[in-house]
Amino acid sequence: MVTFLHYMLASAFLFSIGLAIALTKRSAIVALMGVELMLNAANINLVAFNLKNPALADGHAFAIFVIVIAAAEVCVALALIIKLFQYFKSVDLHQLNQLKEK
Amino acid sequence: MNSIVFISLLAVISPLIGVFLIQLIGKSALVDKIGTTSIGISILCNLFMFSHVWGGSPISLTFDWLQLGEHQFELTFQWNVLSAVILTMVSIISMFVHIFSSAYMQGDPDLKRYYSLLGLFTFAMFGVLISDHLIFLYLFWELVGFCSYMLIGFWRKKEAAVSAAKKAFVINRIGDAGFMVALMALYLQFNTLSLSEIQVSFQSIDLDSSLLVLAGIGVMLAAMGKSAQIPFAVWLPDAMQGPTPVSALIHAATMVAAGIYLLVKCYFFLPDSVLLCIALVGGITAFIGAFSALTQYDIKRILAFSTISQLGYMMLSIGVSDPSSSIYHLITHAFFKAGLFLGAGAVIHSMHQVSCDICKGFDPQDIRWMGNLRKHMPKTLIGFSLCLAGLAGVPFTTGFLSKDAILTSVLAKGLNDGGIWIFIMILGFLAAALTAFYCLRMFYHIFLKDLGIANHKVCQECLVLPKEVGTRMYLPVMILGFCSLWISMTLNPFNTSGSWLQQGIGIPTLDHHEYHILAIVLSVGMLLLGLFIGYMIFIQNKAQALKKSLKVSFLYKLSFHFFYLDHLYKFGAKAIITTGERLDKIPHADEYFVKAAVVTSEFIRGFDDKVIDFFVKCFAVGNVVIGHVLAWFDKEIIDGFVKLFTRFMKLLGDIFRKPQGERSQSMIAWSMVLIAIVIGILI
Repeated sequence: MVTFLHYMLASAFLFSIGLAIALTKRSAIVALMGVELMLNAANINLVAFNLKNPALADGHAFAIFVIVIAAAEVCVALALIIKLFQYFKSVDLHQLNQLKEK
Repeated sequence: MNSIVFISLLAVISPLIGVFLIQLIGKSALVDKIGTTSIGISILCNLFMFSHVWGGSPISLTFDWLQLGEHQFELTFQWNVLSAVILTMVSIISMFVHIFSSAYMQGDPDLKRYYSLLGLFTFAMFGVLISDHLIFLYLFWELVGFCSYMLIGFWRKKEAAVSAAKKAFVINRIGDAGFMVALMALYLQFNTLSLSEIQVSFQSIDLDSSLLVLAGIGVMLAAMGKSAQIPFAVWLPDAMQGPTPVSALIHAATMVAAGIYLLVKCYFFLPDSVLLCIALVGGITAFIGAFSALTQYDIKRILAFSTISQLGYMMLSIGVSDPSSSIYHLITHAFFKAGLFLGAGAVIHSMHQVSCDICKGFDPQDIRWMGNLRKHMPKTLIGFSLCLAGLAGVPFTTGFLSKDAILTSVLAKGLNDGGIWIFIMILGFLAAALTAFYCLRMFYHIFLKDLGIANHKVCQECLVLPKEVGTRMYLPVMILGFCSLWISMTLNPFNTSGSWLQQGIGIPTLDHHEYHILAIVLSVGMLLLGLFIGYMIFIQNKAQALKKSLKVSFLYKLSFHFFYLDHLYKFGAKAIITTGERLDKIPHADEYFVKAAVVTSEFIRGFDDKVIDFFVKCFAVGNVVIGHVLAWFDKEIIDGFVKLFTRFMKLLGDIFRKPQGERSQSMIAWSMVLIAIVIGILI
């Protein structure tokens, strides 16, 4: 039997993986993937919370919103990464330290 | 502004507009037409204004002019009966002069300047006539003087003309200084310089008689300078160096009339002592002018001296408290004198054509070279002789009427008051006889005797007979001649005080009807005496021995040299110069002055160098030191506070930033930890 707690655990697990990827990976694209994982963990949460009050289905509506916004955000983020690559010839986040105080 | 004021103003400004047009357009073929047209407009407007003012109320126009401290100056132009009649006369004479000039000055390269000056001259005279405020009158007065200066010296390359112009200008300055003094005295007395206001307050306030006498003498001096009275008359005979039409304008309308006009305008406040001075000056001038005209040979000089003499009559008339006769004579004199000068111009013009290269010493203005012009120039003869009759005071002319009006007043004054007035009266009547004599002499020389140049042996070969001048030249002379007939003033040719002019002006005159007949008899007697002597000497050719002995006598020389007035001025100037030179010759007198000056200047230089410069330097050094202190304070203390604050803020930032690992991902990780901690605490 899959209970509400299982959903929560799966979501937390997925969020942790995403966070770990976003914080540790040096490639900007991979870090972006981590961010997407975190978003999807949030989506699972939203759908799961909808179980508490299934008549309204507002959790589903929010989930769909988040998917759409994630798609738009990926567009922007990828465009930024392309520009970064054109400028620095690299997408290594450790090398993008121009604003750091010397 | 209603239309009548506008028309009156247009009459005044029209010549000035003409001047601007002449200067703008500047084609020499057009300038005479522009000048004549502008004066023509002036005449029409003036006649209109005249018909309005005559018998009606005066027109006036007032502006706020300027304010000096508490003193408000209001500018008033006034057209009253007196100025209206002279304005009309001036514009008519100026018109004739313009027309005459267009023929007389033909071909002159400087026509543009000539007509501009004529227009300006007329405008300035208009300004004198309409100004009620004395300062403004003074300005126009000076403008009249300046224009006459420019016109007398019109032929700049002629040295005599230039020096004559300078002479006229300088001598007029003396009179103008008097005017200045009079203005100050009047302002002190009445606290205003508007003549109409002075006239109102003259009756009401207590007056300081010494100030009034000072003002009267100042005004008299001004009039004596402008109207060429003894001893300032010396400029007028020399003013003949200008073009002849200009002489007509100066003598008849613009320049010399200004002085008489001023006196008549100021007549109401002149005290008795000043009036006596005026009468004395006028009587002497009338006599000396006529006496000097007896022996001159230059036609224009004769006329100049006759002008001086006639102006003397006008002064005399004011002196015997009869200003309306003075204005009457001013008007009639203007017409016949303008006619005489224009006629003289015509005669000179045609005599110029007679001259040839061989004739040595030929002078077209010398009456000895003229003669018999009655045959060659009959049209000029008519106008000229009518005007001459006016000058001589022959009955049935206006000159007779106005001169008798003056002589009647003089006779009445002389017989009533006695003393010095009898002397003045005798001078006046003698001058009348002399006038008749020199008029006949001039007429004989110009028109009656044989042509002088034809008697000259060398000149007979190249003789060209003089010809009648063109229409534009003889017509003005003829019209002016007919204006000199009695009809233009009154119907009764022997009624000297009944002309429309005298009745209209309305300045109170003396009641002297009992002397009327006596005056006429005496003046006609004087006229006949003069004419008789002239007739005997010139036409009957009697008394040759007397004539010859007279020619070498002292009286003759006195007359010919105008009573040595010129020499007197020259002597005075020379005396001043020689005194200066004498002073110059005292040895070593100047060296002490120089030494004293050098020592003083050395001392002052030292003081400047040592003392004043020292203070200046101290001040400069002090300023620099203070500047440095302020700069240090600014840099170290004020900037220090700002820097300290930034350091502190940076330190604060570093405390939190450094442990985060200086990488974006680690920073995010730390912020996550922080959020987790915050949430943990909250839960």
